[in-house]
Amino acid sequence: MSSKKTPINFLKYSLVKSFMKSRLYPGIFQWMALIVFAVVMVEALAGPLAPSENFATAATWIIWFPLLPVLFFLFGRFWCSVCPFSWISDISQKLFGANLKVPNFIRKYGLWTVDIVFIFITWSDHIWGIVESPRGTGVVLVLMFAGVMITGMFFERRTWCRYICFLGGVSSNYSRSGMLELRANKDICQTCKTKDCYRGNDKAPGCPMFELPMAMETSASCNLCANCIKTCPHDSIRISPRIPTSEFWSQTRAHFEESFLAIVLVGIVFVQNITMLDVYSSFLEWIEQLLGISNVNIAFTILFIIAMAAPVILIFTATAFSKRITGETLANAFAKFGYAVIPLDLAGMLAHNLFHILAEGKAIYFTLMGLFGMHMEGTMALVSDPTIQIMQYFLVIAGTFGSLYTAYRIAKSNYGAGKAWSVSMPYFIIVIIFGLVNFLAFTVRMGMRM
Amino acid sequence: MNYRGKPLKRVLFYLALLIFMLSFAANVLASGGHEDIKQEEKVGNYQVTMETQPEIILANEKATIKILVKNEADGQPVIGAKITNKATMEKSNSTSSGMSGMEKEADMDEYVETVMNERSDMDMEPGTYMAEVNFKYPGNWEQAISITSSLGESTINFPVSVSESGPNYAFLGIVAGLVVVAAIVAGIIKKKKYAENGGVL
Repeated sequence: MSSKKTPINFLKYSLVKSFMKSRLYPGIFQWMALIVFAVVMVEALAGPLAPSENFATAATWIIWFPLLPVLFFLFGRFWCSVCPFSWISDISQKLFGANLKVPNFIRKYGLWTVDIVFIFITWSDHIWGIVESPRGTGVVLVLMFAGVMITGMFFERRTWCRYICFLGGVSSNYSRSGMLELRANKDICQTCKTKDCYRGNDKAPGCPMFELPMAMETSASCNLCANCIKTCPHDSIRISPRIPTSEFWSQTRAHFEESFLAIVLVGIVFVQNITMLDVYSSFLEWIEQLLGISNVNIAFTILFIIAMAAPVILIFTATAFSKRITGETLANAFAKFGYAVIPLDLAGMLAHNLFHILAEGKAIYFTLMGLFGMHMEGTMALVSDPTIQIMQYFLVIAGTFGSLYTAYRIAKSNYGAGKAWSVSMPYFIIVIIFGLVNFLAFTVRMGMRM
Repeated sequence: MNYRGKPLKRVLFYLALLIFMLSFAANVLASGGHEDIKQEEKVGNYQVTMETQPEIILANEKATIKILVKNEADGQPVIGAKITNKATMEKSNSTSSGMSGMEKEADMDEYVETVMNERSDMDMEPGTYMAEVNFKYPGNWEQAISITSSLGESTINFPVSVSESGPNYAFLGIVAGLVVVAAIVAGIIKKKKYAENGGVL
């Protein structure tokens, strides 16, 4: 961020700085995550088959997955430095690492791979019921485990986390909209000859995510592992709070594939919402009758494709209108404004997952007690349904306003204050449509995961 | 970085061999248990044969229920019938220890209702109807298959036993085998790089 006033730097607090420079960070969090992960793996592969009795299902789909967007928004990709898979990657590399350069096609098409794998996993969850099946969860975890180990064995740094992890696209988009950033002081860095932050030194390895902090404009890949804080001999690194979504309007380079995922996510979040609604099965039957098909999976696939394609088509339509004023190419303008829907994506996902956390939150306690042979009974809800619904409405409204504001700021920073309203108007209409659809989806009660 | 050349390679080789043998054995064992079983019953004007695939049905994994419906009088296949399968399990039949756990399940029997579709594929006998059923819990389920056709309406019961499944060792073995092979290849590349760079990685 090229702000004129000096940003707040949390590393100026000696306690924070010494903690982040110590080996305790992020090790202490990694150990905790690893212990929970080990239990989750065993439970997913060998625990009870009923999801309501399985700790892995509760820990993964009621707590971890719903909390992820919140973590990304508040702390950027901090989770990625704690994630057990990143540690597994490091260990595999230490033991067997051939440390090869990442192939060009992975660098070039990494984000598309992430997009496609994310879409495939979301689709397959609905077809094969991964979330409802502890063994399904186990299969996904084992495949990821193997993928992380294999890439760690062959390629340098955290190739999996940076280029392949299917959550990478979502995590980078949400982290970019978030409230925290790690940046370097470019004035100091320009005088640095060693670039220890990238290369590493005796204090810590270089950036595992292939980032050079002085050149970093986005928080898409930074996982706040603090390696650069440990290795920098000039104390050039700062960690600062920032206005949410500000990164989208201050960036100099927009990526089509990031925007594409953001827009597709509008549809995916919508599909996730409607499949959890009690009216979903009758809706699917209606589609089957309408199209004259008798296979529920085909009906869902058609719905899924339409839900993903519709937002893309709508944003392209808005772009086609706005480019008359801006004179930009369709692809460039699409890439720039696609980021505007991220706040609404995030809000939709938070609202959706809020239900799982608050309506099924006690499942984590019940299933945890189940590990010790105790069977708990009672309501799984932490708060009542109407309370959750009000919170969901609030989130969707906040997300819609966030997206409107982001679209306006993107237009303003790219085309000036004079054109900002007219350029952003077509996007306003589309964002309001997305917001209304999301709002309506939450007026109907959702089904539970457990 | 430490590099432990030959001993490491040897250990990995034998480990890979072991895992491959285990996964092969597991695959053979796993495939051995997937034969069909048949149950035959007569009800009303119908003669019904039911098969399940796989033979050992596992909880929370899809199983195919296939029935062949014939006219009991002349043995001709019954085509164009409307058939539904309502599988029910009383909670007392569950072999799952924690079934009484959650609020939403309290005092409820489990049931799955599916429509059985007629199959007219070349390799299927006429009068064959199939459906995929996901039995959520292990235990004894009762399938009430209702048949409606010009021969009248009848319901026939077929019991089915659903087992609790453990880890899929074949899958785990194959994945572990792949990881070991990758480790061997990565080790070889690492050794080559080590030699090319004069003992420095």
